[in-house]
Amino acid sequence: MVIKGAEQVANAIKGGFAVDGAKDSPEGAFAARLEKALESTNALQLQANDASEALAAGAPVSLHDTMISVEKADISSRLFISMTRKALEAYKEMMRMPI
Amino acid sequence: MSTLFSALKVSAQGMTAQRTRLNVTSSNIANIQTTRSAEGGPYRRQDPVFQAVDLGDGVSGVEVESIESDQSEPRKVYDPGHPDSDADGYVAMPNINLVEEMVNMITAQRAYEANASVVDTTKKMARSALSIGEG
Repeated sequence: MVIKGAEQVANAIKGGFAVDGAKDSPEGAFAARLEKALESTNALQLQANDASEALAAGAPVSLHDTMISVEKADISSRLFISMTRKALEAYKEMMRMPI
Repeated sequence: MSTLFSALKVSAQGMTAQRTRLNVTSSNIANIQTTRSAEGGPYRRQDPVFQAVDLGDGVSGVEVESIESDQSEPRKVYDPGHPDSDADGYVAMPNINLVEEMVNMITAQRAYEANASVVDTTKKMARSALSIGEG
């Protein structure tokens, strides 16, 4: 009874975090999502770096475009940090649950 | 995230357009007494033409479609000693009004600042949304 309930909870979590084409285990599905978010954040960071370097080297890049890409990278990385923190807190909360 | 970034993209395009306008105004002011140009004749006043760009979801950016030359007649000034004066002693000078160019310059600056403050507001909105997750 209690054991069956725990299995249902585990299935619900698995369904909730499922990503198309993700791995089978629930940890794998969430990790895939986190990885995708990290990739997009990284791409924005690289863009911001490239734009700042080009501006410093004197290429015809406009100042406002560089500042805006830096800002986008900043927002994206803050969002990612916030997401990771929430995921870790959720994990800790679940580990605190009595068996 | 893409709607937030499209707001930033629109403001970036606006700032680029105003920068172009400022560049054109500065070249008009610099050439206020230029009597020789590449196409022959005096310098003709340049004017940028802006065009709306549809970015989807009812959001419109802006781009500089072209920079048009002013087609009105150049101003004739009587100066027989000038190297470019014609048979009657008149020199064709560019039709540029300094006051008008200064006004265009100030307008471009204010529009640029307005776009920058839109970017700032967008950034603050994003920060306040992120602060929901903290605490």
